[in-house]
Amino acid sequence: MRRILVVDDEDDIREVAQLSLEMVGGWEVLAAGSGAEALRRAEAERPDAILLDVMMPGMDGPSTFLALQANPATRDIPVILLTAKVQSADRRRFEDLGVAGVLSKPFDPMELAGQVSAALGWT
Amino acid sequence: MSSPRILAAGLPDALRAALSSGIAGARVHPVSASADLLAVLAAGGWDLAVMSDTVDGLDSSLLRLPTGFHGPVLLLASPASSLGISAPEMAARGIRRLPSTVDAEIVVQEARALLSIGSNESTESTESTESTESTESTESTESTESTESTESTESTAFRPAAESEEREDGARMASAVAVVWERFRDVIFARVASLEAAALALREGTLDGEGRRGAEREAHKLAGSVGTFGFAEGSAIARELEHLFAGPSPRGPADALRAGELAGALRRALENGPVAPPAPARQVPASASPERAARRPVLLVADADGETAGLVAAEAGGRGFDARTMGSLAELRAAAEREAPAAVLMDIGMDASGDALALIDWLSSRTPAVPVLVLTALGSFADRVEVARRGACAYLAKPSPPPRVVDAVQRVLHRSTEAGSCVMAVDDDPAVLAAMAALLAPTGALLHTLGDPLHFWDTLERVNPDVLVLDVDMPHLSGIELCRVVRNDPRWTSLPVLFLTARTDDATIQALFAAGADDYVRKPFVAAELVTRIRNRLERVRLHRSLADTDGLTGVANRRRCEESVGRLLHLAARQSRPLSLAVLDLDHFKQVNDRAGHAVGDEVIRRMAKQLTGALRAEDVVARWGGEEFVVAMFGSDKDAAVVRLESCLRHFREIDFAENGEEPVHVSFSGGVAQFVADGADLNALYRAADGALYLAKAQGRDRVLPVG
Repeated sequence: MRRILVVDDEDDIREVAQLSLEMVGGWEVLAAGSGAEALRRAEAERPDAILLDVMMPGMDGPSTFLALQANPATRDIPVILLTAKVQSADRRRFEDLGVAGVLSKPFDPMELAGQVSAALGWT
Repeated sequence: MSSPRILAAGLPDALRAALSSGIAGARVHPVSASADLLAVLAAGGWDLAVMSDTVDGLDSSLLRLPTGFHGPVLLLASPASSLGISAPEMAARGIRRLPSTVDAEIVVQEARALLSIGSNESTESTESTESTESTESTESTESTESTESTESTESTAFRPAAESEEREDGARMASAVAVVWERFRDVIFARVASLEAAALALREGTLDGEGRRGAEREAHKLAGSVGTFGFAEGSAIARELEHLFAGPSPRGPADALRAGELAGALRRALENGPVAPPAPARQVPASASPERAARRPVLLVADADGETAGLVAAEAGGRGFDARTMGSLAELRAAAEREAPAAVLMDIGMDASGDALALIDWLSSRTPAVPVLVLTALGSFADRVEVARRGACAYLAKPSPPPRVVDAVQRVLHRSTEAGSCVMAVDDDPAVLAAMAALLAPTGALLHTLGDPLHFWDTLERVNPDVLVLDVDMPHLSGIELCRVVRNDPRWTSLPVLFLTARTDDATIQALFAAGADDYVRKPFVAAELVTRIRNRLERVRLHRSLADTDGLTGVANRRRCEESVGRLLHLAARQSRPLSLAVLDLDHFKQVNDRAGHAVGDEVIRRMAKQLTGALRAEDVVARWGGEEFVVAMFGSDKDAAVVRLESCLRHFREIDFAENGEEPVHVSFSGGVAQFVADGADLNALYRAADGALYLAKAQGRDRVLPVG
């Protein structure tokens, strides 16, 4: 079964994302509440993909992504950023980092898993 | 049962595969050990739940099963764990327990046996899951032919479902999301409250850059989150607030007013509840013995639609109410006279006359007043105003899922029994004060009245009220002037102020809000309206207080309180030029502790960690559980080297503790930590946390079991 790591400092959103990815996607979901925790869990548990919130206190989404890229153990894990920013310049900036996809917040819990699998090319 | 839906919580892959292939057409939905199992269970629609006792938070409360889940449960538990629930109770709840070491084949056999019981559920039987067999039996006597190599339907990737299934899944998801919403609504309303406070500060010109950025951040978070719970409008409002607070330029009075309006609109949008399809209808077994029924609060549910009433009553019955349903207003009135109900839930669309409103009047004028919740498909704004004016406590749009309806009842009841709150009222008219005293008496709130504003300040400090009610027109000093004085004192900036006013022209109302009023009521006032508005204010005060709470497992500060306390310590450190160190600590390999030794041991490790830290540190230091297995410690007066020494000593003691239960293999746990120092490594909590977390990451990388300073 595919495993996906969900990273968000907001417990409520993380839980809804987790419900969505488990119930609709049928994946196993790992969760992290901060960028630093995400780095630790990604290295220890090697998920198949990471869904990463952009705005978090401490290490934010983009810097977590860069840290993941810097570590050979986690470099190849595809990362999808989740952002509440609506401006296309922001989105472009995130896409230019080299992530697998950028998804919008708020998300519809019924749609999220489909968007994630589309971004990752999972069939 | 053609394709049973099986929830598989915390099961190893092999066992899940065995269930998929061993049960014809089964759809096995995996749920990981850390998932919110309660929400998934409550979402309903499961024919069987197979759970392992390694699942996070699996305890007696979870096994007493949330409303919405009524299928059988197969529990794989270590024989040693008690789970806080007796074997007979498990049997009565349709839970079959197997040792966690049992062969997959036996689990599949048991699952099939339970599913064949479960398939009778479609008949209207209310006791279908009652099992009188021994729960300790590990061998099913039921002979079931084995279905070899049926295709596994376990979904390993997203796959669009058939339309009807999708609709069903949508309803399930909606109710699972609703459960999460209910758990987090206080946190979300606290965010809204902080935006309201920022809007007020903006109006008064006291919102500094940091406050503005904070408000922008909160609005941004809300814009990104509430839409996920189904509040599309709320999300749009929050987005507008985000833009309003964004940007460096100082804001004018128009923006300040707009911010206040938007924050209020956001609160209302969220209070109305998300737009979600009703939860799937399921028959709920009637429970409770007669002698217990005598003590349970009576809830009268009046709805012309008997099915809706029945579902709500069933949900309420499951939560300790003695719920009675009735189909007409006449019946409701008769029952209300007879039963002294704790609350009444009524559909005001049921009789197309003004009788419903008259009945609300009558119920709210009883002594004690009967709380009325109105359920209606009508839903125009005028209705809401009319209903609120007559004293109804809550207004729910139809259709609302029964769990949400009963949540609302429980909130209203909690509110109406909220005694000990304190209201201070200032009015030069003794008749008004006497009327208020009579009105507030049934609510249990304490009222201090003051006829002469000259003694205002002394009384305010002595009484320390939760809500202040002021008359606009008084001799000597007007209410507006009093309010301004109150607002200018930092101790009273968050005290809710409600005005009584005979004048409701635009200029007066604007003057009230400019002076810092939260709300106003017209004079002569309608009794029910005044009480409702005061209650609303009291409820918000209570909400604010409950947020500054402690962590349930350990009793140390939670994250929110930690942020406040550390904020205070940082100010103190800056003022007195003293050092302050902030440490982020994380238990090593904690997941393995949970997996190997069980969650009871895991919880004990976290409790002991909190105890060790509070024991070793000084009273003025802050120890907080930041979440999961992570702790934050702020040490006032210590530089980071001294802090590291103290934490290393904690660590030495902590790793000596053996957490093993009754003679099993010893369990030792260590932790890693990073320490940052104010002001060298960061000037605020965020920066310090970030720096300390970086050092923690290094400590983990260097082999764990150590505490490292930044740099």
